[in-house]
Amino acid sequence: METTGSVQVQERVRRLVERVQGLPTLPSMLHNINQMILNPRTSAKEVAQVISVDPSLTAKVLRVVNSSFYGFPNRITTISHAIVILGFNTIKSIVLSSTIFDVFRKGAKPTDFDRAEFWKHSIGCGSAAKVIGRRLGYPMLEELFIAGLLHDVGKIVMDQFLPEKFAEVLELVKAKNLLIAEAESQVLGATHADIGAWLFERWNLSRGLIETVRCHHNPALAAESPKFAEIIHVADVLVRALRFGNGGDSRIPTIDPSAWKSLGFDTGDFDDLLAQTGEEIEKAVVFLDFTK
Amino acid sequence: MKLIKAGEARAGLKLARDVTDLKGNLVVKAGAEIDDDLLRLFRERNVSHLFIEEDGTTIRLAASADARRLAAARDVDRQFAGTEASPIMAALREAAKRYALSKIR
Repeated sequence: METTGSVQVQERVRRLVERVQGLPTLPSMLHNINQMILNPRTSAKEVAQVISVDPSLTAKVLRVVNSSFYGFPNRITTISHAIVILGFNTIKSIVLSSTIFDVFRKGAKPTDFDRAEFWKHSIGCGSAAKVIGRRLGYPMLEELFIAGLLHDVGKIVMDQFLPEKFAEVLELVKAKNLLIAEAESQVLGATHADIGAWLFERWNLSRGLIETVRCHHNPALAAESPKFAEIIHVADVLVRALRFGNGGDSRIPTIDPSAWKSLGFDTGDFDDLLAQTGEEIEKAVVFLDFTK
Repeated sequence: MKLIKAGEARAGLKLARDVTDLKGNLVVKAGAEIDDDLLRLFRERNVSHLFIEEDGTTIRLAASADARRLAAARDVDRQFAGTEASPIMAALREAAKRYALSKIR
């Protein structure tokens, strides 16, 4: 259910971004794969053929598949083999993350926003989400990793397409030691969460992912997949506590007590959650190669 | 163990994990000491990040372990400023300190 406030924010985001020229569209490769996976008759070979057209993407997918992130004992040498072992959705997730890194690398100009640190934070959040999901017995760990990886994509949109406004945001963060979302609200009247969700809506990505991106700072607003949003909310705070990467501010937001309670954790779980996230990050650093 | 950008690596540091290139091929095994030849190889093979031992040359030359522990605890306190009212965050702050301190040898 949309409140008047959220409609106003979405209208502000629309006004903000519709003036921006050259916003990226969903890469056609990803669009094609999405369409193919929706068709139950699609075979692994057919999807593999689409991916294999792009040698760079093929190499990246195989690199991830063969990394300690999955930890298979034997080397996987073809995309079709990877699809058979990991399934369509996992391969789609790898392609999604890889292509999004590519989309935002093109045309990026140097700014004060440290993208290497940003992507480290994002990979860390994905890793923390996976750890939380595993402890909760959540079935779709891959989707959690991707949601964590992409939860802050709105910051990259702002850095690349609204650089002057975003520079103002970063200045305000520094001058008043604010959380970046607080500074964005003051400067833009909307946050990276709103802008990221808007982009993913335009790209027709899943409603669960869109809502998670929009609500990761306020999971109580999530109606479609509240658990998903709660996990990413807590994962974001956990990776900040680990000090792996940086999303643009140096303070840590407070965990929503309702989300914490809903996930069923105890504060005595923090030591394990942090240690396991640290280990999971080591496996996920292969994704840092995509950011180059 | 610490993750650094390959461009920031210096001769004398020790690799904590195997280094692989973009295709997953092994470039050099864990335990090797970085020298100028390896730095050149990392550039040629587009290696982006490396795990190095924290007791490598750079770290040995850095502040003493006690001073680093104190600094790490202060950094965590600074990061958590403003969250004091939340018991959940108080527990996380202490766990974050324990984690940070466990990484300092």
